[in-house]
Amino acid sequence: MPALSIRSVSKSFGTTRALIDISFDVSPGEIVAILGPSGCGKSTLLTLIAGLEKPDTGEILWDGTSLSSVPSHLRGFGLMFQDFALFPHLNIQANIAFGLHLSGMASQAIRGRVTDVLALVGLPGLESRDVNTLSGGEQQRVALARSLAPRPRLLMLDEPLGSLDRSLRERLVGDLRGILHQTHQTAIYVTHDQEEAFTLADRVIVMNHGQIEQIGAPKQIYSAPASPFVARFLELNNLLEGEVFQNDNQTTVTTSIGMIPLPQGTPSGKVFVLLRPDRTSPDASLPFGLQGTVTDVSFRGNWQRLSLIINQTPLTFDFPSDELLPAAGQPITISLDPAESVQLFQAD
Amino acid sequence: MKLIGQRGNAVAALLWLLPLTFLAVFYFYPLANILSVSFSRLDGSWVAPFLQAFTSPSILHVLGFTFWQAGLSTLLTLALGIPGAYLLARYQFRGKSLLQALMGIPFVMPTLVVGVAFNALLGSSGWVNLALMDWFDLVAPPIRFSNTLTAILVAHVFYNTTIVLRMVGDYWSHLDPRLEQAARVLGANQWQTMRQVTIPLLLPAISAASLLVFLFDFTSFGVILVLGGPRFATLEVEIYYQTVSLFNLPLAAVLSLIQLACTLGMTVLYSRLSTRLTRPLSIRPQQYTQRRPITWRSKLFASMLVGILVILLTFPLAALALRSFTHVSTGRDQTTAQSGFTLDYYRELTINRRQSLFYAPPAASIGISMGYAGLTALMAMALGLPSAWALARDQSSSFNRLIDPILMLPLGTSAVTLGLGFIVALDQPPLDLRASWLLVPLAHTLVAFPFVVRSLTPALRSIRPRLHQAGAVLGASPAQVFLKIDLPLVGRAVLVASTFAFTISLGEFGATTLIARPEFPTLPVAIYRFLSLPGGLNYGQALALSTVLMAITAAGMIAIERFRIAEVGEF
Repeated sequence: MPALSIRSVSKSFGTTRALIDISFDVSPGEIVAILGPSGCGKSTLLTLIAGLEKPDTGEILWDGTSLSSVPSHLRGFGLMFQDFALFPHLNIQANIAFGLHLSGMASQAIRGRVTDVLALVGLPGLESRDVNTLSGGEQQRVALARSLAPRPRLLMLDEPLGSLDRSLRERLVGDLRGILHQTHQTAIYVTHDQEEAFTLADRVIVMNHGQIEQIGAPKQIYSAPASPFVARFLELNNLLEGEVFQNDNQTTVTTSIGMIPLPQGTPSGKVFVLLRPDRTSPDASLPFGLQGTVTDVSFRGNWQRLSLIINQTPLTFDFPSDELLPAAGQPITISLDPAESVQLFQAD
Repeated sequence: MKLIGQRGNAVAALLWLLPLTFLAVFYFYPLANILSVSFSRLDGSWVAPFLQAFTSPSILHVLGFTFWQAGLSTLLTLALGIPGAYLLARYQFRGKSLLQALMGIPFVMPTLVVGVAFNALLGSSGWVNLALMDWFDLVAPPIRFSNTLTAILVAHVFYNTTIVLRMVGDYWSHLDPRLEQAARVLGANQWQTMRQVTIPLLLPAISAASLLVFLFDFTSFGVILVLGGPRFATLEVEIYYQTVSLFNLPLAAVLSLIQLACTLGMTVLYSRLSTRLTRPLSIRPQQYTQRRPITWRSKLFASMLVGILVILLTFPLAALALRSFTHVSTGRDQTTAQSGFTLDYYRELTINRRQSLFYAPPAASIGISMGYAGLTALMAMALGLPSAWALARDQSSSFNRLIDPILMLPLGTSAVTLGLGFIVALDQPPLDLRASWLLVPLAHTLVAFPFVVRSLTPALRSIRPRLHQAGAVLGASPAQVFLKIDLPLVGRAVLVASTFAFTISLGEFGATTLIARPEFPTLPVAIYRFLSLPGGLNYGQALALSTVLMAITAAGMIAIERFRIAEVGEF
């Protein structure tokens, strides 16, 4: 049985439809990431689950019981805000103990719990520091400790790393993953960063304009995006308009870069064509070849990105760093296996 | 490092130059003068009047009553003002700006007019008693309001609720609602969230507002005189009696000093508290913090509160306005009254009946008051902005800690003493202002100045230091940081402060009545002239002028609300 169930939830603010018919489940101990651009409704969804706002229609259930009449403070959920919302009038100890006092815990036990969670988030012994003097990373950890301290049934994190620098973010994502798994925490993690979502989550929900575009495991979403939006959001940018034709036992799709053969039986019609940037070869070793001119090669650590232009259409492909590639301005042949590298989306 | 410190000191000195010069010349000099004149009339030792003040049971009773009524009034004002501030800060509803404009009116009404207004509503021949007597065939008025403690408390709440609404409401409207949401999610119910998060975060604004309210109640004069009757006397009233009726200037001076000492003590306490309470908050634009009341509970809360505020704050004024259009003639047996609509009182205002050279037609006092008020607002801002900035930029400076309570002194000083001080001190070269109309706006600025500082400083302090640093790093000088970062961020507070300065000037009566030139009467002075003359026509004209003052204030408040929305915006 799922821990949390969202059933056909919709929410509007004035004429803006923030959420349209959202449904999904979260299993006990599962970490679900909600991934989408800003304004897609993902933060609104958290405020609904937390009970800070009420859905216009639809229902939110916990263990099969509706939460509609349960106020925020009795839901037993945790919510970590984007800018942390630490209480500026309380020190670290008091910030973390805030929820514990309210649950009626004895002060001895509270002290122990605060020490424990501070150690868990990697800030042991900082109890009496003033929160106004903390660095961004420390604030993030204190906010996490405060959310974890009352052992919430569900922890929601709203872009918790959004305001931090990249290296800190990468380190904290790892730490966060460790902490959440260590405590078997059921969690919903909202972010616009696909790397964070993929690193942390058991399951990813991609949202756009208040609607769910795709739900799946990170690998599944990356290898088979359900829509051109998801593909573009995952920075799979080789998207072309095309049309599928059947002639002489052959199925092909015509695009701005020419005809590409497709497996037999692909239905005809207008489509979007996604050429995956990986699984290609910079020579003619695979069944189907493309000729173009290199415009740029950029080094990215253990891989490199090749930009080329075919018939005025820019494309990018990724190769391992040790692959020798021609310089900008040189002609190049890229080969690929259409069965592996080409994905089609129906155009409406 | 040293260089920066020296430049910082130089900036601070520059900022303080004008405000401190002003205070020295127009506050300390006249005050010292009147005190020395008072004590010079003494025959024996200067200890005698102090002994008299601290041993006389009647004076001790006055002292006790002054504290007691001020404390009680402040508590009642907060009890109404804080929910009201919440309503204005967190909810958006139709007619809100009208409501805010209405709330501002009582504050500027001269105390005499308020006394008259409450009498017109609840007095023995007020509307309510007349109606009750009529409905239930009573012989005597059923409600006894005049000359009771209730009347004093109600009038104080009526006066000062707007201070809490403005100061706390403004601060509250910028408080990040996510802090409260965080508390809710952590398991706090609404009451716990309020007590443990919201109120502590609001404390700087609440304590600032409380101090002002307490000081106003503590130095209350007109309300006690008109509504309290002879049974009640505050220090200020006692000073007035001792000065004007008994001519015991030494005792009056001692009482003035006691009042000053109390003010100073409370202000020191407050500034100690405020530096400890103020925290850097991330302020949020109002559109992110306000919403419409949707649930039936919030609708009920909003409408009940709006109802209470409207009844308390507008009924007395409505009664007054209604009365200014009503011709009342009492029957011979004193129990029946005939009333009818009339415009006579207003028609009379434009006529100079006395044909006197020094006597302006009553309507002229409208223009005079507006001019004084505009000048006062300008001067109070010119002095208040640098002071508030100097206070906010360096909270740990010992000089600032010393100066902060001193700035509040004019508020706690008896207006009677101050008015006499102006007359005694500023009538000889090099400062011969006795015949100058400038005395009035100068005195008004003195009273408005602490107000401006008090409402600007918390707003300036709550700006995160990070923003100053960001501005400095981007190449802005301290002055540019102030102009381009602080000022836009506190634009609303600046507007609120100047509105207060303007309205304080419009309504000031105690000092003005002593120093105003007879040919340049302000509205309250003109109203008082009519009130002190016998006859229904004069009383009616007083009511009519009061109604005009009320209308000007309302128009001004509404204009400022509109101006804020159109021009200044939030951020």
